Amino acid sequence: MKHATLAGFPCWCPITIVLIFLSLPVSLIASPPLQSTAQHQITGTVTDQEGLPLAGVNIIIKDREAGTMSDENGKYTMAVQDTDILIFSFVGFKMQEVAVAGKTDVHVTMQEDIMALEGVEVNAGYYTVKERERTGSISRINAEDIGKQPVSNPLAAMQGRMPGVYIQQNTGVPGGDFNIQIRGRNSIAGGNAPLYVVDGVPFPSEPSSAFGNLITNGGNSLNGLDVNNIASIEVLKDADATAIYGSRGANGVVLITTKKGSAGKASLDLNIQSGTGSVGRFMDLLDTGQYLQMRREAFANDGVEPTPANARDLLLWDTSRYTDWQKKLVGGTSYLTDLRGAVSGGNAQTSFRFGGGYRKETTVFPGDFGYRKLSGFLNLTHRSEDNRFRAEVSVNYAAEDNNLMSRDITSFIFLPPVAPPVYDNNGNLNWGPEGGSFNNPYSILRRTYTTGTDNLIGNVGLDYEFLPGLRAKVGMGYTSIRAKDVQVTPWSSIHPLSLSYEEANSTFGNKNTKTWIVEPRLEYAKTIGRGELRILAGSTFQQTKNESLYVYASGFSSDALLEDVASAGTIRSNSGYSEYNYHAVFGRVNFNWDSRYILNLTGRRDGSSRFGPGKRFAGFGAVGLAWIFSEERFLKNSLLSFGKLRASYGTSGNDQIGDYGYLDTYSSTVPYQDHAGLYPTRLFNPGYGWEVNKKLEIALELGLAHNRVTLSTAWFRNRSSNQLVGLSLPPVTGFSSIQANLPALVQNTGIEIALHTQNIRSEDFSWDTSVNITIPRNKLLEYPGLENSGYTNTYAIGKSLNIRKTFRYTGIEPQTGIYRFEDVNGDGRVSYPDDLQAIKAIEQDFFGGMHNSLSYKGLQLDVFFQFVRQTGNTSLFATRSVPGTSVNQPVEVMERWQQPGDVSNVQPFTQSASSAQTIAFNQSLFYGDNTIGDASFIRLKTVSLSYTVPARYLSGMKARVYVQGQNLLTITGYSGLDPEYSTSMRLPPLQMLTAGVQLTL
Amino acid sequence: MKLYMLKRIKHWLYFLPITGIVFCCENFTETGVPKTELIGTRVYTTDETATAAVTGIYSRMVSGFGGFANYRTTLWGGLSADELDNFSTDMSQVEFYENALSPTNNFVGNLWSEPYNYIYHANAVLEGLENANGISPVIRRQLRGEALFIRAFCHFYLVNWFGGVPYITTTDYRENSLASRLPEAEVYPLLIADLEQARELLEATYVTGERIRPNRHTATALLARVYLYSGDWLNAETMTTEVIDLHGIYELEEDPDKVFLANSTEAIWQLRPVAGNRNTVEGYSFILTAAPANSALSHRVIDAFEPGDIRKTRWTGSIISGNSTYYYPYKYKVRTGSELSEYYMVFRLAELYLVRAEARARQGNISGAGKDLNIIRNRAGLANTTAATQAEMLDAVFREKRVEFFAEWGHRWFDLKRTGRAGTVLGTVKPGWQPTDVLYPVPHAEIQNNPNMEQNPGYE
Repeated sequence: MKHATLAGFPCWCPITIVLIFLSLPVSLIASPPLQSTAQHQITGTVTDQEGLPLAGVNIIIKDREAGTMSDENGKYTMAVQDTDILIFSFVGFKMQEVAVAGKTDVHVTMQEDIMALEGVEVNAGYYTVKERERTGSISRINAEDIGKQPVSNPLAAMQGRMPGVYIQQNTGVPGGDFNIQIRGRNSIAGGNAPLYVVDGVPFPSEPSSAFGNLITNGGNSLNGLDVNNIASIEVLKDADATAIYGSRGANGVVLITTKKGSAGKASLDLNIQSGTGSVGRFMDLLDTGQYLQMRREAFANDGVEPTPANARDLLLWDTSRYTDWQKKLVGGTSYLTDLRGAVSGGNAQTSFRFGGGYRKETTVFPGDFGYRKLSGFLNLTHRSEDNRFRAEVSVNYAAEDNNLMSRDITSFIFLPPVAPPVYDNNGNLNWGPEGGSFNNPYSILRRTYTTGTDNLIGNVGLDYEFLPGLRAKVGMGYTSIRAKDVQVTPWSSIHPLSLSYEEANSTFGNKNTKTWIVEPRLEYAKTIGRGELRILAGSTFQQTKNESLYVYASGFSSDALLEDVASAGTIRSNSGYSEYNYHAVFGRVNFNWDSRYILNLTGRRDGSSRFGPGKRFAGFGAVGLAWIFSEERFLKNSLLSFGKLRASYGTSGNDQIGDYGYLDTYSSTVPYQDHAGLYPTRLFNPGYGWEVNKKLEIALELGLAHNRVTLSTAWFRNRSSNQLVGLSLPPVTGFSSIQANLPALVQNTGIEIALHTQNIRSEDFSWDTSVNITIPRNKLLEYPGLENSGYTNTYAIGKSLNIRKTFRYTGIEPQTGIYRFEDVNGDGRVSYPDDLQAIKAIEQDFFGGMHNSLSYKGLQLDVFFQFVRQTGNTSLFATRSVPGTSVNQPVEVMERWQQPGDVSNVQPFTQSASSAQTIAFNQSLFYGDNTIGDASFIRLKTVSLSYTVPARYLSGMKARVYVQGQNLLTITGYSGLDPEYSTSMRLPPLQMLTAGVQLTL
Repeated sequence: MKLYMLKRIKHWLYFLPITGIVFCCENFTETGVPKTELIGTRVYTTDETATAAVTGIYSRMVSGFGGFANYRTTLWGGLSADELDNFSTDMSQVEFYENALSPTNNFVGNLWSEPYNYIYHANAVLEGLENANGISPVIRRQLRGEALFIRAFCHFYLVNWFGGVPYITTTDYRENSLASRLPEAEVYPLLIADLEQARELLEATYVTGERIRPNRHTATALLARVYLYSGDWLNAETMTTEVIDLHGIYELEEDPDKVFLANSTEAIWQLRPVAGNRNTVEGYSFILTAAPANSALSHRVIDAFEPGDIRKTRWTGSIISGNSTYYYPYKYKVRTGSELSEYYMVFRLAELYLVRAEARARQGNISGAGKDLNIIRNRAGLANTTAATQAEMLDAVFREKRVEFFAEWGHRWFDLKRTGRAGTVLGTVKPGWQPTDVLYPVPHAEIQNNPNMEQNPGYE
């Protein structure tokens, strides 16, 4: 505190040193003259709205440098004068001023401040910054936002809530994958995943499962985190925020901070939640009558007589049957149970928090499938009485156990409605009548896929203040992710006709990823006149090792032995190992003049083992500027309560390519005679380096009417160059491509707007609204030699990276009903690649969310809508089979062309593999632009209603009951299963409805 | 004042260790070598790993479902010529059968890129051995000999499929990606030089006891073929004689059913199959168990057998499906099964007799040619040839080669091409035949990425 009294004196003045010692008397001199009324003791208690004591509340006397803090019982004592005004402040609560006016005890109830813009400290990774003073672009959600959603992956909780962050859920299967793109796609061939950092420890972005399985789309590493133990998630977006992450910051940084203990009486927090999930939307598919009509018409159109060989559905199956395969396969109900408990407490010096959680989700598929996650966590923080030494330890562990089948049977919903029953009269799998073979989807249920992962994240932080303002810190962390996958194909799941070439087999996968990191750093803070200087310097040492083993086993005598490798007749195995070493130095200089002008310089020099000698090190840096113009005299006391203009420019990099790419390596071949041979797998190629992303941002943040309305608008432009691509080589070199940097330039620009309004604030009732919207644009600006590269039919200069080059659909030929495409080169036929002249993008035009939060006394209602305007794959081609074959179709196909003059987008039915319709259908499927259409949607993503039982009924215990809903409603014109992920048939995100109780003892 | 300065310096001293780290620890980004892979320099440190680098070539040649040295040369040669009929709907395969190849045909792409990949591999072995220390001299000679042989072997097929090609002798991609085509006449001396050197380096014996890695006689056998193809009859005869005279090591199998068995006495070089559930890909692919879906033996081959030729019954098979009879090559008799009894034959003694017969006939030695020819005819149960003039004798040798080497390594296609008879023979049986069809197109990927590469006539 003492150095604060030096305000106004330049630090470089040697007198400072003297003044430090003199500061106490100086401050006394500087304080107002003593009043005639003498000081007296004042005591009191600080509580929250529930009447529970608040510890650690800062209590200072206005205009004087005296103050204290509330103790663990919320009590405080201090010497005051009658004329004093006390200021009570605590992070997350509204500041209160109370005049002493002769009182001897002052009890204060602090009001929670949901939009505590001024006080919120935002985690920027290596440092924290006050929300109002930040120069960079950082979006944040906290535990409260997460807690209102019955989700298991943090990315699910972030969906729609952060401007500039697009998250797509790829499947509704538990343990499934998500895509995240922060400010668009930067890299043509490298990774586009952000850097994840959990409590200062980098966390892998690659899926944790040992071998990518289709049903989970490989899974997602963040499933291995306990979402309920997350205190906040910060996403760093611009150069100012990401440059300090150097070569790994190009795609943004996601910082995940776990919950810490808080001072105060030890409390136990218990939360029990359970509910159900189901598929919210189904497609309108043909019923038996329509299906049979389609099939018979297809044969008639083709002039082909149905025979048992080509029409088993019509001639061998019972055509009076009707099975709604959607209901049968994905129409079930999934049950969710989530239990968690945490104990936390401590005193002003030491606090702790530990606990655990258990989550179980079953699936909507028939059968006994499900996902379980067991988690445990421990956090200890300590600081010495003089606050010079601080230490923190946290350990987070989660074990996942996912029990699924080998593929998503959602892809079977297009089975003919007349298909035979799945079980015969004896309860065995039904393979159809003789010669009328049936590809029974229930056989897939026997091909189980189980994956278990153990995720451990541990970190230790030490922090010591050597000299006033100078702190030395060290962070040490370790993560270990072990995954074990087993997939079995039992004899009983194999179609009897396939037994001549298929056999029972199992695949075993083990993967182990270990990372350790050590980051020593120094921090220095100094007040210089009205300015504050902060300097940070640090270094990173990180090593990641990956080991994997993959075993394919066959030749089993019995289905019972499939999970025993030793029982296999034949074994093939494959192993992998890689090591990634990373080293960097980084720093930050921040100067804040009078809380008005802020300059933030960050930089990093880092080296990665993924690059060859001489190419390993590179420097990255950024400048951030902010001007809080609402602090200027001419705007003081205006309607504008907060106004900030900020801008940043700088660079970050991307090293997301495989390890060892620069080495000339040899791998093993199948043994020749007795010994494995070796073959060169890569050209020696030391000459490539990072992708460099140059980011520019300008933002305006406004607060009106005492910040009851806040508006933040940001414009960004990120340009990614030095693109790491596989450069095509002529095959005479022995290889088809080589990893190289190209001066290709990818640009992402966008506008992000976030608006928050406090519509109503009264004693008992409050209503808040926040809206965010992002309008992204992606463009390939330059690509030297694109025409001659392997990407010539994929990308176009001046267009987005998300385009498809397609044939331009020109409608149906009125005389024949066949799809027509533009013959651009006029050679009389539509051919690949010359006629790929139409360009359509599958991407988002804009996306965002709207959150309304209403509270009345103990009742709280949250309603969150996610909206996305985008293009996707239309449902007419979802079956990937031409209408008329023995595959069920969306009812839209009944609008087919039937006679000359009909206007339709559906060709006449056909069952022939060589008919004109089939050829045109396949052209559409692979190259046509008629498969791309609107897939926009508005989704009622979250509804949460909770009631906090008043403390007075529960003798000090806090209780909250709640109901939550997820994906309850989707408004869309899209006629497929779900618009969010439309590129292939997967289980859509489930509609969840849960109820729960939270008790705090 | 001084004290303060000191203190200030002390402040900054804390930053020193950090700045120190920048310069001291750059080595930290060195990783160990990947444990599941070997880096190049480590491969050539022991006899075992260096040998593995060579056997890796054979393993890759013979693994998978057909590469240029495993079924594909036979298939493409057979379809392009008049040996095999096509039943596949794959347009890339249809193009071979119809002699209408496009530069984007993916099979043509593989036919070019795969041998060049082995050439890279062979050059990497040669360069690795050049700088290697811990390799015993005997092994080094053997491996260098094999690598040179493989380099020549691959270039031989390239020059016969595509005409003049770049002769690649380094691993440097920067140099190679600008390589230009040499005229055919300049490729042959390079082939001969590599093979002569291989002959010097390789021993006469087989290194593993099995005939699955090339020895000196394998290089000699290829060299004999190279001389024959380049019209050097004398040297072709000399080379063949060197091998034929080695009675004891190489003998014709009397029973045609035994020719293609593992380590048959007729085998000069075989590739040992590496896939677990079958023997050779040709056995697996050609033998028909139902109406053909890929290829079948043309009736022209069946019709070419003289009456009484036991090869017709022993080396071809047939199946009746519906009203049609389909024939298939039946040299390899094992379709599936994990027990290895047949190896994939690359060079066999019978070829050398026919090479010498042709070389002798070309030099006017009709009786010598007849003697060699009759050895092959007699084994097939046929009487001695009646050819008396040089022209008759040459015709007889070509006829014999057609029925001895049908559906084997594209012999028919290459013989038709090199003797200039492709147009007269195929022009009558292949609709749309163009004289330029004798050469395959240089693949699009090569033309696109190599500024010095020229396309063959007829494909521009």
